[in-house]
Amino acid sequence: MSSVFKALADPTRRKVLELLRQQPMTAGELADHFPLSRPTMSAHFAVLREADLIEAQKIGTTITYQLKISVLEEALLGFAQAFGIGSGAPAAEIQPGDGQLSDTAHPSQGNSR
Amino acid sequence: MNQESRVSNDRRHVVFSLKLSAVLIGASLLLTWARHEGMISKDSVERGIGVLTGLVFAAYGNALPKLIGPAVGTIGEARVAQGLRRFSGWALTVAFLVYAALWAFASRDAAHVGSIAAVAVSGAAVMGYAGWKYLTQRKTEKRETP
Repeated sequence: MSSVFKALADPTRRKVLELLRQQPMTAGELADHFPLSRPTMSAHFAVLREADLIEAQKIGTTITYQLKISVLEEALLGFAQAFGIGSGAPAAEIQPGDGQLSDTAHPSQGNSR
Repeated sequence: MNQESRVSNDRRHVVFSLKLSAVLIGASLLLTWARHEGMISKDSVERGIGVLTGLVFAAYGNALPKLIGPAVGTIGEARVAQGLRRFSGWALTVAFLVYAALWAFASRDAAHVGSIAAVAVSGAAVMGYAGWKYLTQRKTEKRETP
């Protein structure tokens, strides 16, 4: 359950879940909605997969992400969105490879590593 | 999702279902024993089993959207399947919470009728939604096919 709270605490990951609510999407389609680097988005997807909130499946020729969220988790998501949990904090970017969150000044700096 | 993780996922769902069943059977036996010992009335046993049934099936409805089957052929089919999983999960969870609440607080007659009505309405809603989604998707596919 703590992995679910950790996943839902980040506004970027909540937005990913909101987008997947509309329909399953590929990683590229999801990443196009965010001003973050692809490796950073991959790290966010990894956190969501670890929390068992999304699942990747091969549909046709592409890997597509689908929502895998229980009713209670969806209610928690709505609660977190309604109260803006985590949205007031400085923009945080996951560093791919270490799974740790660190503060960055501008999300547009992306990941030059 | 590879074969190994799919098997592990399926195993988790089976274990979850078995645990829910064990809770329902165990609690029912406990209530029956308590009635036999004269600790509670027949009405309390009936209400207790009603509340337990509602809560157990609500827990199953809660987990329903997580039951993703094998990969489908197109993104449209995946969209329909996802929508149906979410809708049926919510419908069943709410219906069985109403079921449990009626058995906990309403009069016996109201609980008998209301609990069955709640489940029947949610079942009809899920069937209706599934039919509507399927027809909408067929229409979309026909429009997109040259």
